[in-house]
Amino acid sequence: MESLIKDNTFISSLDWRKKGSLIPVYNKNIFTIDTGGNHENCIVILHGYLSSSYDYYKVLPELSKHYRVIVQDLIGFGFSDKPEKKYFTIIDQTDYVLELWKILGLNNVTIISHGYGNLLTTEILARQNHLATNIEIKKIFFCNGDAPVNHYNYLDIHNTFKDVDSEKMISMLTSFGVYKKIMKDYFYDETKITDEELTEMWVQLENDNGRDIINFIYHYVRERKIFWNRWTTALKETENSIELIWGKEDKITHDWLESSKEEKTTNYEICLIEKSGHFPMLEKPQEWLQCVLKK
Amino acid sequence: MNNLDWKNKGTLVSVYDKDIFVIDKGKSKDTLVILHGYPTSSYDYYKVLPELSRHYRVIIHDHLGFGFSEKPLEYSYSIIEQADVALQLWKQMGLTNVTLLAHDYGTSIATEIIARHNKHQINLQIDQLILCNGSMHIELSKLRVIQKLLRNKITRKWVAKMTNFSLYKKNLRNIFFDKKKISDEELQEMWFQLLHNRGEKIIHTLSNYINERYTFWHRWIGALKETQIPTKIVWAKNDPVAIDLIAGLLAIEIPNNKLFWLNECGHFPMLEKPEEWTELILNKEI
Repeated sequence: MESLIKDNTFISSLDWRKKGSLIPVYNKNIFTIDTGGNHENCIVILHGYLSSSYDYYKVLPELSKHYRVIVQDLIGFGFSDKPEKKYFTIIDQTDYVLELWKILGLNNVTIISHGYGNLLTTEILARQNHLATNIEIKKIFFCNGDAPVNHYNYLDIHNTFKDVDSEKMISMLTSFGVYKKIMKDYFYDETKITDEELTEMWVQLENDNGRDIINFIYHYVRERKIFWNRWTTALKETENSIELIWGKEDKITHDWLESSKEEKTTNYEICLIEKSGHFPMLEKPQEWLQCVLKK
Repeated sequence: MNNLDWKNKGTLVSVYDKDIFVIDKGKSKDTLVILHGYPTSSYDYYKVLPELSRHYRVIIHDHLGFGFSEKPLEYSYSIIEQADVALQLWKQMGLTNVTLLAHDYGTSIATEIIARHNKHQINLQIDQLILCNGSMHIELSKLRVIQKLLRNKITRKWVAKMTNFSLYKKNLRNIFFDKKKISDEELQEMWFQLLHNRGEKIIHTLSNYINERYTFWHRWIGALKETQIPTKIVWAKNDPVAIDLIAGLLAIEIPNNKLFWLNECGHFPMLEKPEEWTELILNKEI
């Protein structure tokens, strides 16, 4: 297959910033890139924790040849506003996502999400099941991330929760050196992420004192416990078609693949990407695109 | 009133495929919806329902996991979910305008509903909000030993297993100002409703809401600070859990509110001082 990615795609944060605009949603500005507007079918992308829309810089040009693509920085990340308080819940984050989509006039979307973004997608599914949102979903692609824990009494298993990984993520915020080291570790082939790229990502984390405000991972781990049943039920009951796009060699998250087999949640299609870690859209952009674009 | 008579006053309504016990009384065009507290049920309002329903169409439901409602074993009894259930129930009943009254646990559900109302996510018009004793400011709340034990992930199951009528009786009676104002018979009926549908199996999961009050503090207190809904705060002054300081703080934070005190009264004013409480609820001053 002909290459979908040009060799020289690198883009600086500043140039990335120019691709999008700040859209006011409730009392916050959300950095949004809205491209490929000539297409009727729409893909919306929800990035992961400690990331930003920038994760998709390699795949966006090709994707927007086929879809209207909307990538946004979630509240607290990238060029979007920061929450005033440290506790910015997934419920709040989802409110802002849905309101942005409403402002953009979207009502039938394909969602691609990754890591933390998967939880937002799952919350959207819960609201759909509870008839609390009008959004229509064509298809969902979940990329690498943890599955909602399916356990009746979540508090009994708090120890098995991966607090080590939470701590690792928090430590990423301490300095660029630590950040770089851990990020590289999330890749299967660490040469697939350059220092140049990591610097741009770090700049975005730093933006507007972001580092001080987004260490809310413990909080979101707790929310996952609170909503375990809401979210596993949402995944079980949804009639939307779901596909997993998975970097096979992910060192931090893997349990979704296992639990989806165990639970037989739904008949997920799985598009497995060999020799890719936690960020398949950055490490194996070509393969990632094939997963999304194949008909 | 015994709990069977209470049960006969209501019906089971299916919401998201779960049975919710609902009392719907009164013919007024003004509707009052009530969100009850923990770990009790709609039964808390048995003394005040006759008078309230002369002025309002009164709708009280037992939250999922409480009273005569279904008590699914595998469920996240989260305030967010309870708000979903309440809103869906009211939608199914065709309500468009309501006065919303909440007490204790119910106040947290109410704050979640207000958050959604502020964000224009729901079509329900809330003409007035009435907040009764509830620890919305959880940081000021004087949690009882039993609540602390139920909050703790290690002790909660043990406590739930050990809970029996005499412990329940003691804990509930202790939060009355005048302990004589609640009879053994009433407590027995309340206890029976807790056990109904094997409620003892899930009681410890219901108490998660205390943790949620911390997690959603900014969302919920923020919602109260933003709301333009006329709000009446009706507070029993001698509540040892949801102390008067909470009411005082709410009165500073909520933009359009009026605070009414009920003296010499504990955590359950609708049971302890039903007449005075009802008078304040019906007072049209705000």
